[in-house]
Amino acid sequence: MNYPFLSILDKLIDRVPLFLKILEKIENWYRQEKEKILEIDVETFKNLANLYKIFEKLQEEKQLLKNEDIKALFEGAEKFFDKYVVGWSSERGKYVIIGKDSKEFQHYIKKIISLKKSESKRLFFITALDSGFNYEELKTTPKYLEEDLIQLISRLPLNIKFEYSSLVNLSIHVEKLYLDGMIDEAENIKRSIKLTYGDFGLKFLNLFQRGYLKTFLRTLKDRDPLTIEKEIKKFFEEDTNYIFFIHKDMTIEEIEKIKIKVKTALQNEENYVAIHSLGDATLIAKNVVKEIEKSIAALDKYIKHTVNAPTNYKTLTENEEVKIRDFSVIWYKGEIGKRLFGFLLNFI
Amino acid sequence: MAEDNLRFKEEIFDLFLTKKDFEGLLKKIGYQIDSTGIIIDTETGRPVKGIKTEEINIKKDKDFAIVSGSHIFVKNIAEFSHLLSERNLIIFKEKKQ
Repeated sequence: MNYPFLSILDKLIDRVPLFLKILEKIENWYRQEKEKILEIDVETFKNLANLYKIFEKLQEEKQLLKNEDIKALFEGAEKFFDKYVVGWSSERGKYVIIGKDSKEFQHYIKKIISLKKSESKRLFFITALDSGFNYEELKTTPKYLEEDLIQLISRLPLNIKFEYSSLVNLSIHVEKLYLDGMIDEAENIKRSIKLTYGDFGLKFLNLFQRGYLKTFLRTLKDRDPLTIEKEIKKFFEEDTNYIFFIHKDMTIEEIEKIKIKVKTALQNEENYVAIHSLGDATLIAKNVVKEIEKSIAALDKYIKHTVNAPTNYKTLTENEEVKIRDFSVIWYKGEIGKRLFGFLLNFI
Repeated sequence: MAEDNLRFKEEIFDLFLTKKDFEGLLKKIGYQIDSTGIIIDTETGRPVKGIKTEEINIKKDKDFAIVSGSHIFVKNIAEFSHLLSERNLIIFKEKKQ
């Protein structure tokens, strides 16, 4: 038995009437307007995506269908997903519901089959209902950036441009998910960044999120395009080598490795050494810092800066929004250290 | 029929499908799924691959997508973003200070 799901189920029971009402409204509409495409708002789309997640869970946990309300919801959802598909119409700029037996849908399938051998440049996608929202957000929602950063991205050398542009796009999206309290979705995208771009991708995301990267890139705006790549390489491979991000899912071995690296960096008097953590990882980070400071006697060459405060990121619990805390410790010295510390200060 | 085609040309959809529908659609448009979950192109007998990574397994890669033009597969959302980037389709707008 999946116990965490039971607590979700408690909340679900409250939402059964809402879901059933949505399904009933759609069905009534189609009773009168057969063959048509029904436009729906974002909230209805999100509710249908949530209903699908629940429907999938209920298929695995059939004993929960003993509850009459849940059973009615399950059967309603099953009927709905058998008859209709959910989509996005670029022409309408709206989420839509399409009957599977409608002419539009049948044409669509034929069109997809024919496209396999075509050179069509039209970009549309097909994915799972529970990942659709993130795909659509990336495809259609503009990402807001400072003008000088947009200019800089457009001037990046081609060999890194696509990767950087994609990572900036993903970083902004992940940041928005954190600000909206959609932590699971944000973590899921982080995993796909790791899979696609490796450790570099995660480092990019973390440095972007903390403000280091955004500010650094802006300093390059007047540079010769030929030197930009060299400077970026130095930033990732040298300047930021001793900035560490502790994550709650790290293994003991990974945390131990970070401890050793931080100690070594401080003993070698590197210019900028930092440990950053958010949320549940702050407890781990506090212990790491305590241990490090116990084992290194003389840190007097450094200016130490500690952050232990809530951020604008939030997590949604059953009854309230809780702000996610940031715990960070930075030891810095010299001009290089001060410069990197300045980059950090742009963090939200 | 000609009128229907004309009408369809105006209407392009992104589709968000249930797992059952997605698997059904893959078969209809020329793919098989082997016993381990890997998607095979029926015509070539070869596994389909993501744009930056290896073959796609519907059991592991829950967020994969088919992106048309010509049946490009992406393993996850990061690959989709990469594809958008390669096609200059990422929309950055100026943030007002």
